Amino acid sequence: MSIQAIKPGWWQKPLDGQEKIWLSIAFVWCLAITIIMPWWHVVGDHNMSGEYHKITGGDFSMLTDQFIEKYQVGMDEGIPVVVPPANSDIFLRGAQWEWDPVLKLKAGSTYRLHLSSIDVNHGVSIQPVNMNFQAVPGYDSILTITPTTKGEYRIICNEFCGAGHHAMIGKLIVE
Amino acid sequence: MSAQKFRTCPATGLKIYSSAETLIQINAVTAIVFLLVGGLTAIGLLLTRWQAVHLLDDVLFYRALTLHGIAMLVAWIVFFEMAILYFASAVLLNCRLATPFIGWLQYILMLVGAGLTAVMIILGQADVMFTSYVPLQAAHWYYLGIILFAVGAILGCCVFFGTIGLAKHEKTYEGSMPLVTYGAMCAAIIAILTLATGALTFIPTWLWAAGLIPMMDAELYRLMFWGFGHSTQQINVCAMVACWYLLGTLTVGAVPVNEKVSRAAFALYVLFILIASEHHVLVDPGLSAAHKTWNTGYFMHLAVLASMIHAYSCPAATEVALRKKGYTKGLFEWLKKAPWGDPGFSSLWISMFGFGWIGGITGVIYGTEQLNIIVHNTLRIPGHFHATVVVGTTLAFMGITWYVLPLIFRREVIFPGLARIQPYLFGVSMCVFSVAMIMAGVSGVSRRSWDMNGMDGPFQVDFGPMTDLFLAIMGVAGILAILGGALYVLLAVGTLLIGKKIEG
Amino acid sequence: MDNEGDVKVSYWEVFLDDVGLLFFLGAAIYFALYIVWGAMEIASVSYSPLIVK
Repeated sequence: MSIQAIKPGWWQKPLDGQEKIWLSIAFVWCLAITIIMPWWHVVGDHNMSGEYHKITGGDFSMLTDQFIEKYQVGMDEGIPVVVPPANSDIFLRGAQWEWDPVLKLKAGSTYRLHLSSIDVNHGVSIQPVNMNFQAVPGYDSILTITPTTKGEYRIICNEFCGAGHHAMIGKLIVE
Repeated sequence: MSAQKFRTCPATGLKIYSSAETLIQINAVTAIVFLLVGGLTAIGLLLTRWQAVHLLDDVLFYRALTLHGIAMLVAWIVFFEMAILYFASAVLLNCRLATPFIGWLQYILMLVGAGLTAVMIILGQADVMFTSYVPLQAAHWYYLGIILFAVGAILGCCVFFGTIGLAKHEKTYEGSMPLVTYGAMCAAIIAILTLATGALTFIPTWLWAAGLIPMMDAELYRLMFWGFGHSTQQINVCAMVACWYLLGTLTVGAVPVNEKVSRAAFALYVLFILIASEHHVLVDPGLSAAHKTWNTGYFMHLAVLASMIHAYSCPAATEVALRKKGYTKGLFEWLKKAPWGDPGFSSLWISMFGFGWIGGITGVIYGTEQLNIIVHNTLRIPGHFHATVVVGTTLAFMGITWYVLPLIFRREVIFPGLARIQPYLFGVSMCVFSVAMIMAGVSGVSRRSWDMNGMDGPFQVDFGPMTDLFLAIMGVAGILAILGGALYVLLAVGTLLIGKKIEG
Repeated sequence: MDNEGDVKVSYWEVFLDDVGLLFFLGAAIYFALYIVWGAMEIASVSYSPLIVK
């Protein structure tokens, strides 16, 4: 009974055959998923770049403004649209409740995407490809990205960031 | 102190001391009150996320969501766990409760804390969600409420350990403590570590909200918060598995297949499960890949191994017990002839199914470094934890209730026919709800969002008709689950008020 | 217990029953690997080189 105390010597009871099989399967399975994860970190393409720095909201905002000024080509719904060159640093600024700017990228080119928030935590959810990252205030999170499929994407904030959270939707275009 | 009053339970022969009994009763009843609060908010949330209905306005939705998290994940479950700790120590060890005075202090602190937090949310002073990530700020009373609650719960764990020590000292049991008590002991260790992290996180945040010290680093807060936020759910896992063994024994007289395996599995939880909090920060800046992969790697998978062990031991124990009753024909006669009409037994099996097959598997998958990118903060996450915490833990606690009512409250459950269908109504619809939520999350719908289509935003989003279908399934199943939950509250409270008294 | 003499008590039993030791190991593994290591990493993140001061 599992509600009664047991006498000393319980460790001596041998394992049942079926139990041994089950334990072995479980052990091997746990080992396998443990190996796959770091292995994929080395050989896979679907990883965080693991590059980040501290940065104040003011500094990140300044970098984003400089970036917009340099490469802006127009406006979309009141948000500046930028076309940055390949292999450059590009910026995405989260603020209550807007993503700035609208990025127009070239398929096949590689960019260093800097993500941050200048106020509270925001979530960066790129749809419909369904890739999700965290924008944390005080941190510049750098992702090396190579867009492969042309189209128009949405950047949805998926971390609760205050009353206007659901209206915080940005745009990303790949041409 | 040693002159505490007790009665002897006629069914089990256990000595039940009145000090422990009162504390078990009052904690369990308070838990059910918070379950009711959480259930009421669930109605609004469900009918809002069901995009076709979209009931609440945005402000009310976020407020209800914050209250739902606190009432369910924290208040209902931890209050019930306190009742389980007192039961597993004082009742199962046949011992008086150590320092009942501190037990009362536990109850009062937790009640004041949970009440304060809930009131601040209702007043609109804390629209920050369960996670309250800084720099989002709530009124400082909100954080104080959580701190008081955590301190109360730590005191409850201390009473539990005190009672275990007392029982050993007074030799009220021989050999090693019962498996259920062992599981509860592991839950209590996890609880103390977790709640200590909670205090370390919330005390600086409280002082910051009160304007006394500068803000904690936003990423450090996320790391620390999840040391509290996710690990509180590991208390549930441990307590729930202890409840599974308890239910197995109460319903069919199951004996653990092999004590050493089950006990070692509980110890693996204590040693390794807490680092699993890491999977909340897998897509964050500030932490290296080494920290991320190590803490979601083998050490954490040793805790997964523990769950795999219980996934074998618990059903196997019931099978052995049923076969001993003579149901030995073929492979599955024992399963066919099992007491499916006993709400404790059906709760046990649905809880094991939902926790393992829906919650556990998704949990292990979502906790890998790469796959986390496609699940982080989508509806898949609440889909996962509604399977673990609601189908798993909550249903197991509900199953225990049908036995606690006659044993501790000494009342016969009213309307046993309704009690019989309650686990099916609640458990099955909750399983469907979780899967539908996960499926909506697969297409990328985010959690904690009042409107997924970006109605008020500069750009609109269309997730397609499949997503709407899954959200509708989620809505219908959710309503059925809420009915199941309401039935539970009704039967439990009804039994307390008008249930026939059992003498003895 | 009258047959205590002839029962072999494994060290595993003593270990699993040792509440204090379990508590200590649980706390040590968790705080060292998760909290302390994590906090040290967060504290050592460098400032963005894009900002020249």
